[in-house]
Amino acid sequence: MSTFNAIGVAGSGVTVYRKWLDAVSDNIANIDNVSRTSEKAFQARYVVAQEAADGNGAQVGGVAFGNAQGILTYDPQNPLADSKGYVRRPDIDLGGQMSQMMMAQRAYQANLAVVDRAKDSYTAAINLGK
Amino acid sequence: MTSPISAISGLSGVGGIDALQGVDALSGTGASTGGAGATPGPNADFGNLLSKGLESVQASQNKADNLAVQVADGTLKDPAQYTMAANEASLGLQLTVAVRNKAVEAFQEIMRMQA
Repeated sequence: MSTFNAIGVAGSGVTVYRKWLDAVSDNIANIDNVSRTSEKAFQARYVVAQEAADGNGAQVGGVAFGNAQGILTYDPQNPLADSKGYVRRPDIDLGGQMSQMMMAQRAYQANLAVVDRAKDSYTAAINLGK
Repeated sequence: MTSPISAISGLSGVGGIDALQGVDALSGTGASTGGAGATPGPNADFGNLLSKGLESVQASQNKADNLAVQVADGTLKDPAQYTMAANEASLGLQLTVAVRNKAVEAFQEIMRMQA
């Protein structure tokens, strides 16, 4: 992390965006969960990114959770429906999750591109004068 | 810490200039017997620098080795961590070899000198 600092800094970004991808995949995997109205709906996971504690790069500060109320849906056929015929579904927008996934994927690739270029630059510096 | 190249400019500490100054002292009153040898001269700093650098190279190699083991037994969550650590270790080794080659080159250049 010291001599070849750019690699470490970009690496911390790679880790943050991988966690964002993990969170998005978790949200999409649970998007059709159904729960009873007496229970909480699945809460979307949102990764909180912030500057790294040592000032080198980024880190995940924690995870924020979405709306636990979810969306009340009228579905009397559902075995989990209450006496009035309602169930809870997660309040997650698939389109929003897909665009978040694209952002996370591209940013992950951008950080890996930084690692690649940094490696090329350091190699050029090492080979100076050969 | 800041620039990997500073290690190479540290090579100037090895230069023969100090030894030549020691010869001056010998040709004088003879009060100081020999500038070079056992006394920790100006090269002690460079020695520390070198050993510190080698230790950090060793540390990055060990880190890459450990991550390789984790890849093999499936406990590593992010394969990019391993590839980046391996890159860093390989760069460190290349830098070490480059510094060593330069040092040997400088030594041979001095050995080729004729009076």
